[in-house]
Amino acid sequence: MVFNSLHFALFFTVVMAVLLRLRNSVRGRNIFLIACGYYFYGWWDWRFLGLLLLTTILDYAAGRLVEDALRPKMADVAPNVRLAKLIVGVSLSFNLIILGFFKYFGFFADSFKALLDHFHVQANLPTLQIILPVGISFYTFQSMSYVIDIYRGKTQCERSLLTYASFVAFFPPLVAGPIERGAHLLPQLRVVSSMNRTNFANGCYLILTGLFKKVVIADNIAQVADTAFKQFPTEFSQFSLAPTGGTALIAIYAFAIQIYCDFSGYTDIARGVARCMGFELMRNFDLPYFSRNPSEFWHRWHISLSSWLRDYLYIPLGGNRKGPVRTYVNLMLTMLIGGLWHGAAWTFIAWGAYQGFLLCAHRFLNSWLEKLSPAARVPHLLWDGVCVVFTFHLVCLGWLLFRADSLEHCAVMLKAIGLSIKALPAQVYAWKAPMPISHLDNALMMTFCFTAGLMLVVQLMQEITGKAFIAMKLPKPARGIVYAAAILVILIWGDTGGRTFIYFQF
Amino acid sequence: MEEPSFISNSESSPLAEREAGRSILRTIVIVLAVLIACEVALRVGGWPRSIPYELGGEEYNAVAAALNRNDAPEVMVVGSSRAREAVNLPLLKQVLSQRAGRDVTVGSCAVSGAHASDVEAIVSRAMRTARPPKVILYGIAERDFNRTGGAFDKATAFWNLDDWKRVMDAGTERVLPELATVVRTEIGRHFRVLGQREQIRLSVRQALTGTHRSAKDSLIYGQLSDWQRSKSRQSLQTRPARRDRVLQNIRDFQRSDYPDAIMVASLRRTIAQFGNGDAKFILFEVPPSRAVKTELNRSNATIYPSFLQTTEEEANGKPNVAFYRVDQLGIAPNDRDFREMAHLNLTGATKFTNALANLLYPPPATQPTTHPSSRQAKHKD
Repeated sequence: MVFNSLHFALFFTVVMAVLLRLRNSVRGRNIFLIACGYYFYGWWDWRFLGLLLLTTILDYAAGRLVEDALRPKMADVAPNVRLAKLIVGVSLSFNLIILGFFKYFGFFADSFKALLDHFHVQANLPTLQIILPVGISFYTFQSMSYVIDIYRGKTQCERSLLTYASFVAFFPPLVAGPIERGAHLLPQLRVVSSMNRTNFANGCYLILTGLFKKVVIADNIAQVADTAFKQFPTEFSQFSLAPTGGTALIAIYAFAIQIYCDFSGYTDIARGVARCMGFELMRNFDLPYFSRNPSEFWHRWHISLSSWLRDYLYIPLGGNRKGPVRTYVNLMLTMLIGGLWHGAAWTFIAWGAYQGFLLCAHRFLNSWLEKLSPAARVPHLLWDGVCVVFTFHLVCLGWLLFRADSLEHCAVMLKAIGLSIKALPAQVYAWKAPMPISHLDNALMMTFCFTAGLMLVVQLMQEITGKAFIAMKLPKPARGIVYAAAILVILIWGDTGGRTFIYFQF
Repeated sequence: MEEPSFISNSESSPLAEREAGRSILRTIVIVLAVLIACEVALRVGGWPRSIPYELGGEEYNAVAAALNRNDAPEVMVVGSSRAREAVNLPLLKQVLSQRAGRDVTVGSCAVSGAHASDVEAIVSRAMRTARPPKVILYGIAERDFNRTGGAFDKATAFWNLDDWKRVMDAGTERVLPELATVVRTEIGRHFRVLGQREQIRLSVRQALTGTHRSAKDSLIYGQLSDWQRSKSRQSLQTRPARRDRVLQNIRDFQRSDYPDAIMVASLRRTIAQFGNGDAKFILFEVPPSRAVKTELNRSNATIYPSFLQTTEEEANGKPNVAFYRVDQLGIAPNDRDFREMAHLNLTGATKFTNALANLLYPPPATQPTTHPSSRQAKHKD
């Protein structure tokens, strides 16, 4: 079930009505939340409900065993750290095996076969057509972090299976995050939910914002990105100069806007839905395209994943405590795994490596930049602007890797951009009209300008005011008019086809 | 970036709750007032005054809007772009009006990329209008029975709940997700902001790009198609079709699942709608170019012809339904009659329309007719 569908609207209405009745019964509410989560998840493919249940039961049991091993109830029994470590290891292995099988088996089998083919070795490898369970990476990471946190003493073990099952199956973040932590969500599930009018109003605002981002901006600009990417052949041998570098640039910008609005739109709706139900989910985005460097970008983009990778991978690997070389290696490793988390494809691995490289380069150059202190020589705002634009383009280059069908496809588009840039000075010098900006038709260019402009204006206002809910700061009548305008735009320009969210596939 | 904090039960006060409640109510009232004001403005102003038109995906919206305005013509052509380009509508109108001795309205609801499922939806919608068409001409082409993507993606714009239920009950395709579009269309019949969103969207775009075009000036209201006007002289004789392109074009008809069962079921349901009333449903085969025919016969010698044979037998066995093959029309279009491998040009369409009109409504003394609009278009070129 997708948030932008009639089915979800009906489902959510029923959920809210029932939750209002159950607001004072924690047990009843949690049973109902589990049923909702399983219904929500089973809508895609009921066969994977068993997987969700298995993850729940195993990590619940692992959590209790770890807790019992580390903090025994009987005073005369000593804590058994080795046993706890073993249980954590078993739990992690189990989760990673499931994730690896469903998500990466096909990829590694195909890659291995390609490698053997390269060396002219004939091998009949088993190939399985495995369906990827939607959102598997999200709930697996959420469940894994719970067991690790108990081991680290950062969260309390959940004694009630019902509460834990409602934590794993809590439907708003179930398929595309944010990746919640036990320490944040579990305490909320243990008490009566905070269903009040203020949270409801804020929740509705978040839902409206998310819906606007998804159906007006992301879904419309998706047509531009898809068409523009399709203009380029996926093989170098078929490359001709027909589509200009302008088309390639528009494709990349369009995808950058699409992925942000699609993913942050999902998060906003998830957080809004949770808030209406009286629960608070963590923030996942904080105007990431206004970051001044790659490191800041990862503090503002997909915050729940980047903080997960930091807490459960980068820091355990040694973080920056083991010297500069190990720091760079840790950064690269973390981002490579982060890339692979997104999907089983070489483009995602390349994207992860590229992000790792950016973080390393930034770390390396940062001290040099500080010594140079350009910010002290030019106006602060101007320097920040330059940094923001530069970082945005570095991120965009990453999106090309992320979206391209293959590395070759990516290279074809980069070459088109390069050739156009190369040809530009000659055209300007000869007073010739430059090549057409793109080969996209009027309708697509209009869509691009409208959606990109809209996003830029709203985000600039948010960045300047420092407030996420800018409309809520307006006088009351004006606020109503802004909401009405947003609803009108959703009704008229919104894609009502119920397109799925990009991050569902991860 | 700062955002309003989450209020837990312990933090919330009755006063703040009351204020929040009032604020929600006030906002809802303002939102409703603005939406109602927009609706009233649309109704009072009668906006958009004309249905905007554009070739491509927007054709479906223009056809849907025209049918919603009960503007179905007496003689309506349906099908894909193959059918659209095969008929010279001004000529058809002239011939039929001459023979009927009165003004006959003729229009085409044939749209780019339509499959049998889309045709079913358009025909059903047209037959539900206040003044349904008296004759529906369906130009069948082999591509109509080849499924690409969802079978009813575009058709839902024409559906009502009964149409959706009929396809749902047939059980051939999972159409539950399409319910949202059907509900939207149903609400749109009463709430114009929603019902005319496609027209509003296209009107705004056309106004911004200075490319306004009304459907009155399109084939929906009996004018020549855009291609018939702009490329009336282009032909396969001067620009022959490349074999690789032809092969690419027909590759889907070689698949084992051709013709698609859902599309065939759609055609059967479309035919089944006729028989009891006065309306006639006439199916005619749209001629393929020589290049396509050669490859089609080579690769797909039995499937399509045998399918046509079955359809012909089935159609001719029903009252008010008829099927005509190209060879029954007594014409043999050549390369000069095709704009490119799949579509007829204006010359081909004129020949074909003459033959079709003569077959459907034989003249007292058969004389080939040439319409001034076709000459005009040639001069323009």
